[in-house]
Amino acid sequence: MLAVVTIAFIIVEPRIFSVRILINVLEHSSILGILVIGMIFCLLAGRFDLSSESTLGFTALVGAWMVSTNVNFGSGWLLPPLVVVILMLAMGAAIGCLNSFFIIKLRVNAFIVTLAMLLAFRGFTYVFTDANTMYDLPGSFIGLGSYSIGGLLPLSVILFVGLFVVSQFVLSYTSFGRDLYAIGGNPDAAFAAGIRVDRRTLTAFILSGMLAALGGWVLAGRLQAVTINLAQGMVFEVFAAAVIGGVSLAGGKGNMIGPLGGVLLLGMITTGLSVMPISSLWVDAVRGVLILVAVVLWRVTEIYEERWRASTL
Amino acid sequence: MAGEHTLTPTTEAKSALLRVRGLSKHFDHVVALSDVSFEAHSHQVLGLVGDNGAGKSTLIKLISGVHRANAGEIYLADQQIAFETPRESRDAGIEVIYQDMALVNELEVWENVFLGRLLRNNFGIIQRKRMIEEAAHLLERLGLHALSPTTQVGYLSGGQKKGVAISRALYWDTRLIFMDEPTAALAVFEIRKVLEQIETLRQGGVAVVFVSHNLKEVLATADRVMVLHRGQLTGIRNAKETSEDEIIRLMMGTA
Repeated sequence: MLAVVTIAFIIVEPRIFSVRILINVLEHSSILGILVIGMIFCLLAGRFDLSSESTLGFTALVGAWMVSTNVNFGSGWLLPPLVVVILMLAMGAAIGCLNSFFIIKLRVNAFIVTLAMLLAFRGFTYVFTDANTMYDLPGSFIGLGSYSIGGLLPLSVILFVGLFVVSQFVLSYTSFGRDLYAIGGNPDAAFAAGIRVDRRTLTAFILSGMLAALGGWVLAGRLQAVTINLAQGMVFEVFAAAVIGGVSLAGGKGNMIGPLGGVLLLGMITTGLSVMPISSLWVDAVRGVLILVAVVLWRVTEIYEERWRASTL
Repeated sequence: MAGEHTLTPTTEAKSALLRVRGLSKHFDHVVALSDVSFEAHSHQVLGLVGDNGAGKSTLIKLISGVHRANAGEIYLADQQIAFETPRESRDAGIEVIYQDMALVNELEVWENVFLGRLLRNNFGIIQRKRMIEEAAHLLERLGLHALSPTTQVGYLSGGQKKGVAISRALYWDTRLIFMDEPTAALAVFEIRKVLEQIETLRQGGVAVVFVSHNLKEVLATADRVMVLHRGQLTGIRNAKETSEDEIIRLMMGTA
């Protein structure tokens, strides 16, 4: 699928096939990729975290406010960037805890809780800055998002691919990862078997929040500024990448490798469309249709795979 | 074995693995279980029968730590127990095979066997290969030679699923196992297999509590049969000395 789209773009617009643009695709995919990883932890446990893009926006903004050297809108605290990053990750973790509190303790549906948090934290972002943009960020703060090794390989790309590898390892080879599958597949069975269902779910949401904060740091670095609508509307692509990659929205099924392909596919589509000679008014329509095609194709192959497995038993 | 089956628990052998005294549970104003006392022994199968709502499931859930009792005492090997979670009861060697079997269809056989207790090496990494081998060994012991430990459980038949659930109990040095309707909805040859597996457990020294609606099956498999009616114990009988008619009368509370 990824190959088909890539080839299609190359045929229509040969200029896309350059190392520079491919690196560009990877770099633009890094934020989406980091959010997707957090979402997959929640999805495997049979939950959703719709709030991650707002967590990203909020933590990035507060982080930029804390670290900005601009006296007009910065906090003036002049905290070391490392401390700020730790505070951002802590905020992400705290938002994850808050989500879990409503979902696990009060047993409110995760969809509604995180949808409300999506709205609320985007709102807090507006209020916090009076809709100002934060810039004048110190070099060591923006390094992760903007530095490229040899001017070619961005650190953010290494980070995002590395995170996929590590999280796939966690899913396959740690009891935390395996327990998530059990919880998403059959929560009652998981509980009866002695799995600490609530604690595992809490961890998944905390990871999702922290990854969002990490994404915020990377994105702030890349743009060297934080606007109030940072990553707004990304949740749609996060879901699309997960589903294209074979993660079940019902929980218990999926991995990290498939969605990595989904992330790259979406990055390819976005970048491809931006260099194509088509009206910008068409971009969203084409993107939506292409994503739909991708999801349908994935489902069709899955149906055939199920039939094949059933016939061999 | 003389005297095993009598209604007065004080005369039962001291070696009882599980002793339950005056166990009661109510949910709000509904009495689910009222003053139930009984014992279960190693190397024995105890049949547990009663109509729907008689309190069988509540009894199992109280002992396995899913619910907390309102009154009564539970002793396992002469130690008083009051589990807060199923995890604690499993750690003490109590296994429950629920009617819906508590398996995860999305996972493979070996992983269901080790569900909640994955074997890990010193670095916290799970030992997949070792668990697959152990699972294969267990399945063989239960006579499920054709079943591969790497098959996804969702593709198994009902009888094979029971086998997976039972093999779990075999591995974990289980002392006491509750089986809630293990033969329900199975094909005839699968029922025979499950009953054989119960026999394997019994010979291995496990105390089996066997819940079933099929009285013929219970009388043929169990050493003793205890009967609940509307949350109360109406009798414990030696399986060889009772009849279906008597059990039915106890079930209806008319004995």
